[in-house]
Amino acid sequence: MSEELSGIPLADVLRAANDLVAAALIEDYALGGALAAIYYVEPFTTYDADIIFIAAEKGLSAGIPEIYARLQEQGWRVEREHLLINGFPVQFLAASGLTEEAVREARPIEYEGVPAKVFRPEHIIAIAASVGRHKDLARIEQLLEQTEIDRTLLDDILTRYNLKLPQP
Amino acid sequence: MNTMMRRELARQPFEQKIRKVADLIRLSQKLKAERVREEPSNSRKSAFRNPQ
Repeated sequence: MSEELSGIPLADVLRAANDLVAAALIEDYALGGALAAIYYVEPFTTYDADIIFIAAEKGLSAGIPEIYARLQEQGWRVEREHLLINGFPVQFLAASGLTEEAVREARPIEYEGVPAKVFRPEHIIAIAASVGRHKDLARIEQLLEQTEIDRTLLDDILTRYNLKLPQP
Repeated sequence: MNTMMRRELARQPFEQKIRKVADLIRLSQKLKAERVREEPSNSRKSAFRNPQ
């Protein structure tokens, strides 16, 4: 992100994702990654948005070329693995397994009047435990400390995906 | 920052938290740009102090 950021165009990102659903290019989506965590915890620096989608097309490409083409028609730019809207990078990631479950069970929200879905904190924790980088472990700690967690649901997800929380 | 304060920040509306994230990004961009501007002058100073 080289240019000066005027703001995070999250409403535009969510509107574009809703448009992809309406155009049947994706079946469903939810906000994941750091911005999903920020829905539940104190704000922290992050440089992109992750949109996790369930592909409408079950082939190897998951419909990504068509998604890119449609967003580029709407003025989005491509820069390496990101699509940029008003200079803000967004990653569109195809869901599978745990992330697909996270999309299907995501919490409905409204952001600046735009309907959307955000991963539940229990899924964010399980996904972070499966990735296990330093920043993921910090994210787990923040979520456990700062938001209400359904421990029964979390334990169920962790058991089904054979995951463990890091020991404090 | 203590846990109570962090929980309070966590309870703010999402729109407000996203505006704060944008502020944090701008601040980090500004600090980075300042560091880049300072680096050439620092390297000139150190070359002056340690002539080869």
